[in-house]
Amino acid sequence: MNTISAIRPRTASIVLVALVTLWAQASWGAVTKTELAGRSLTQYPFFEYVKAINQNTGVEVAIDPTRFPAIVGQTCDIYVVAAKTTTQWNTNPALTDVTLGGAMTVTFIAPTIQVNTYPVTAPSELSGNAGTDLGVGYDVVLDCNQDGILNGNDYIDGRNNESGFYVVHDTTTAGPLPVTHVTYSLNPAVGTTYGVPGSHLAEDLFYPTGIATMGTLPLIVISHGNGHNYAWYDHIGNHLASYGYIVMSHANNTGPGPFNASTTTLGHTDAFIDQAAAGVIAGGALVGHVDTGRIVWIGHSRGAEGVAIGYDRLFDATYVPVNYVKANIKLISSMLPTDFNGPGVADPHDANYHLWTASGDEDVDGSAGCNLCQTYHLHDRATGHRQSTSVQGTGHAWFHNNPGYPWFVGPCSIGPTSALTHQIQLGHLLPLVKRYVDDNIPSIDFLTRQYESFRPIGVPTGNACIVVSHEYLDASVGAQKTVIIDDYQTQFATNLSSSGAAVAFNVTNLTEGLLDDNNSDFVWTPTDPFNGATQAGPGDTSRGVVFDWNGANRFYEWAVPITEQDFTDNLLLSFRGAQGTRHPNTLAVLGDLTFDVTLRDAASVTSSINIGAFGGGLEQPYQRDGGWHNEMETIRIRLTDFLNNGSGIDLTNIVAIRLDVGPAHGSSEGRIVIDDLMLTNDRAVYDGGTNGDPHITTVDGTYYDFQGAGEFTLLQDGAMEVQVRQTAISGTSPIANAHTGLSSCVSVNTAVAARVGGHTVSYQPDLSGQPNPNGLQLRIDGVLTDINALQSVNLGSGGRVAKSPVGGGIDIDFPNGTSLSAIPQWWGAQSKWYLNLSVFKTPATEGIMGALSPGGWLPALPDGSSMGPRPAATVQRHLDLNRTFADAWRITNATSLFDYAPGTSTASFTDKKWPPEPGEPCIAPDSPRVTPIRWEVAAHECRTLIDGALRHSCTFDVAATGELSFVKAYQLSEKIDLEATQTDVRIAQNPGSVTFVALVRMKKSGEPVAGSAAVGIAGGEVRFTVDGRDIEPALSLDAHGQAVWKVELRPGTHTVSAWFSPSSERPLLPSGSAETAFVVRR
Amino acid sequence: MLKNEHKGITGAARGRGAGALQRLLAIALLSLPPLAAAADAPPRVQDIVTPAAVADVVHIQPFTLQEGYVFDWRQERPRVTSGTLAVFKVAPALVYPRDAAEPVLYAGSQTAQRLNHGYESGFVVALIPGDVNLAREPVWFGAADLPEWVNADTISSERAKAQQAGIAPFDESTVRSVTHDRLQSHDLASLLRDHVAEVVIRYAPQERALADTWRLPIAQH
Repeated sequence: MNTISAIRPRTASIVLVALVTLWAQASWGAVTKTELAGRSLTQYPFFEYVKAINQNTGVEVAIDPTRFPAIVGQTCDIYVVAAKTTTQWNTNPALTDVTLGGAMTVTFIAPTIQVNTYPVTAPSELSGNAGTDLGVGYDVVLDCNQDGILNGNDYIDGRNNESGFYVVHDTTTAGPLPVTHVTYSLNPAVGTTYGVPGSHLAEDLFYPTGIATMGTLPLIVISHGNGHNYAWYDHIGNHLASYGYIVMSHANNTGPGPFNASTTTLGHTDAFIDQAAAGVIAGGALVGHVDTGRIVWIGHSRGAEGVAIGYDRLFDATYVPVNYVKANIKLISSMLPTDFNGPGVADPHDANYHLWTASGDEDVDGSAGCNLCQTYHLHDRATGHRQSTSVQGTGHAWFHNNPGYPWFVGPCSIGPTSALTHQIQLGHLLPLVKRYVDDNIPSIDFLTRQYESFRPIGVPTGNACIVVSHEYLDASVGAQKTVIIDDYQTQFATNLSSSGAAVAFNVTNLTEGLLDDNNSDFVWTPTDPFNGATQAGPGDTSRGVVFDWNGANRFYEWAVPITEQDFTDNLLLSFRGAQGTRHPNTLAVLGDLTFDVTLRDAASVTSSINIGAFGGGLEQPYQRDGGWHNEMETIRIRLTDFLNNGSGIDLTNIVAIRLDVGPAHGSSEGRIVIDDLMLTNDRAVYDGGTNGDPHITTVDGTYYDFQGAGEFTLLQDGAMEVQVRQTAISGTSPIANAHTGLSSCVSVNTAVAARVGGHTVSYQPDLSGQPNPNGLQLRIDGVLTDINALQSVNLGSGGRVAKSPVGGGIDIDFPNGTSLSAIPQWWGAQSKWYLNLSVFKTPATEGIMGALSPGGWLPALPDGSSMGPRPAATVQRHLDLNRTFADAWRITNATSLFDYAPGTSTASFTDKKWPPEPGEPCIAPDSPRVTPIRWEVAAHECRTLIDGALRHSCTFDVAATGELSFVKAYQLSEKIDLEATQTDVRIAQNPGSVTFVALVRMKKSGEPVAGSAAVGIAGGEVRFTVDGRDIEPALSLDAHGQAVWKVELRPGTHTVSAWFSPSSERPLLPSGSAETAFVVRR
Repeated sequence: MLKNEHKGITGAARGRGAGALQRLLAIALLSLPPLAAAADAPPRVQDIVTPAAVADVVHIQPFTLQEGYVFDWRQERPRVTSGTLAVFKVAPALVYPRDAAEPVLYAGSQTAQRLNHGYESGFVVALIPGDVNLAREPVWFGAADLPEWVNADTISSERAKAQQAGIAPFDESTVRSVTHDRLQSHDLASLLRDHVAEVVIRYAPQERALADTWRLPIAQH
């Protein structure tokens, strides 16, 4: 225990505290972005906020008056509007309701969410006709000043490229595109080139008939199983092609085994891309239309193991394709896979992986005595985003369309034909593919919500034999803030979680261990505690816990590690579970099993949600031959649901998560397996950059050059925005950019501006217009700010501007988690400052650094539309990029975040004719002609850069301009990429003490900066500053990248921050946390 | 060109020296109801006893390829430029296709590449590397396994079991009577397209789709 007497004063921090307060108070009154659309529930939390709403159901809107007390007493108009992008809302905040009855006027009242729940549409009132998309987006607005404009203290669900909700159509029915189907054989010589055996050259191809006008389309490859046929997947081919995909099912060499099947999958994928581009397939219809960057592998049975092996071979680089790379495989879906090869071979690694399991499968039958027949092994080996769909009542052969022997055994058949299985299959396959190929947002509801409450419209609802369970594991780590509380993979004692915190329980017969039935049958015996578990096979390591209860109320409780007690960083609580097969308690219930999930905060306030509230529970095991495998199902609960109706729980300080079981909490008895308790987010976050003569790496990883002159939206997401100024330089590209195929006159980034919460930040040259080699100027809300003196300025809600640890630049942290580093360099010959900008962990996808539109060659336009495929003609490419695209993303005086000298505006920095057409001279105003140097010389100057893309960019810029300062700029950018750290402080209050935990992570990867006493490597030291006084001594980072300090503080308001200084042994950059205010309770 | 017609499902004599047990097994399996209806239940894997003899050989035809191919039905993956096309009469229960492990078809010191399924017709069309003399080398179904895992040691072990079970080569007169002139083809694809497809249609007409697959139009300019 430390005491406050151990700290000493530091006057500089007092100034900082004052400024923190100043800027925090300067925050505007602003529109509140929150979830509003969903469906009401009959029990607590009484409402489920969702993204997807089936077209044949109505939409409800709800707001909890205890979470948003300001709403109480307000009369607001509820608008359902056609979804708008950030730009569209910024430029047109007018509200136009699209419901039949128009905007609904209601007065919100205390005290519950139930009394503030309103149906806003009837079933089928809103269109879900999204063409080839999954759903039509709508935003919901509570217009509380009733002026028909989104402004003031209104509330919105939506406001960026993620709509408030999506009305989705029936995903089991065909899409709108006519489909062409052709069957052919690869040329044997081509087969030989790509390793496809001469006996398995056939391909069955499905593609949209109108593909000539459609740009590039993702490629879906289907690899059949043994005894199956490549022509038995027409249902998948026609379905997905009708939604705009190219689907190729190939003859698969399954006879020798899954490894040879994988060779066929790898080879057919390669050969198909080659032959489509060569114009020999389908009469050349596919030339220029295969998106090789987005490939999906679907396999069946041995072919399903084969696609996992194929990815493993790419992962291990034991197979190197010619026409695609591992990163192009966006999704692997294995239907009923075998597992002959086990870990190390049949391993999806970091691929996005999906598994289908047919619980009535008679071939790959999942039985305890047949390890190679247990489908779940592959799923549990996957380390990327992974999901599984278990379907009861169906067999092995109902996943293809051949009407032969069904390979089905079990009760409650959903046969005798494959029709129902196909509806379930297609209804989920479409959203699955869209999620990983198109980053589709509402698709996740199909993969994660309880099937009982949300499923494809076309699947019948009256058939009790249709039982579907979903597993979903968000594998994002570090940067995306997924927090694993307990995955049972380490810390095998039953009283410890894998995160190192305590576990307590009074449930009975508890065992932790491998998720593997330990004998050859599914008969329950006490010596086989994981009876029915088939997630792990020989050599696998997947573990969990199993326990039971019978007639009494009992609990199983995880303490939350002190570093993770602030749950507000995350969206969902997630875990997976299954009923224990054939255990007497399971047999006694014979139905869905439910219990409560309870959170407890440091003040012992609790809030509980029953897992049955959202529909279903843990499914009844499929009673095949008296018992089959455990079917895991993921339970996900929105964390803010625990706040409803004034629960009073403090999500910033959760100390325990508990499963309350027994008659007072749901099923009176039961036995369950539990695993993977975690806190997750659904939205991905990305990195991006724009360097030198602007070489932009988009948030989805495309590297392209954009040489426009003027001020542009670089990235935006709702209230967050980054704008960049690019200035023309009298120089030309030494070589064409690979993505655009253009060699243009160049420009450089010369200023950046941002909206950070309610504040504007600009970092730009002296407003006087006079070149000033002393540095760029930082302004916050228009006020010139000396960041060198202040080091850091807190802008509230997680927003902050800080001095960069290297290069004399600045770092900006945004409330949405985005982090931006701006590194300036002075170019004496041009009398200009130019900037390299690196963006980390951003959810933003709109802007010139935004994600490419599906099928488009450039990021989407501000209205969300696509520029389409890359034109073949150079001039058209130039016009598309440098005129249409550039003009679309130019800012206006109204939207600009820059500061301007009197008499100037964004127009003063705009040259719509730059870059001129290829081949024209590159003469820019106020820019002396540069002197290019030879590429080889430039390459030599840039040779120390490790990253190939940065080295290329550096070489390009030095060659184009002859300016060697670019080398330094790139070195600094790479240093930030590789060495920048981020320090956060968590505060946990316990009776009589406060514990501070500084968590130091790598800025880009999110990995903890771990010290290791065992090998004598120190991560570095952290110094806490409390109430403006430095704590002595500085603390060493532990093996988890943490430093912990416990102290007694008097009741009242305090502040804390932490500064990380790396050890001399580690090539890391220092970092400091924002200063956080907190209150010590009596 | 085919020299002889096959002798039908029940017409051929079993090879000399076949053990009583294996003969009984073959007879028992052959006496199972024909699997004409595709939805008939396959046997359970655990009910299949191996080693099991094939009932007969009805077609033997050596072949030579100008361009060899990698034989992926055994672990060593030899390159094959000549081999033997053979059609065996089998108990359908032994060849019902499944994704779990299946009995592996052996011919002497080689595994056989099964080209069709054969559970409906009772005939399996296979390629065997090299010019195997089936009057000297036995043909049998060994334990369920993946052919891609089978190596020389496995074959040796399985062969010993087959010999112990009394499985012997076919008699010379049978072999002689069903042996056809050597085929010459450019490559495996040509062999399948130009010759084997017709053999499949002849002996396993239910699997015409397989033959058609080998005769699809080739994607080319």
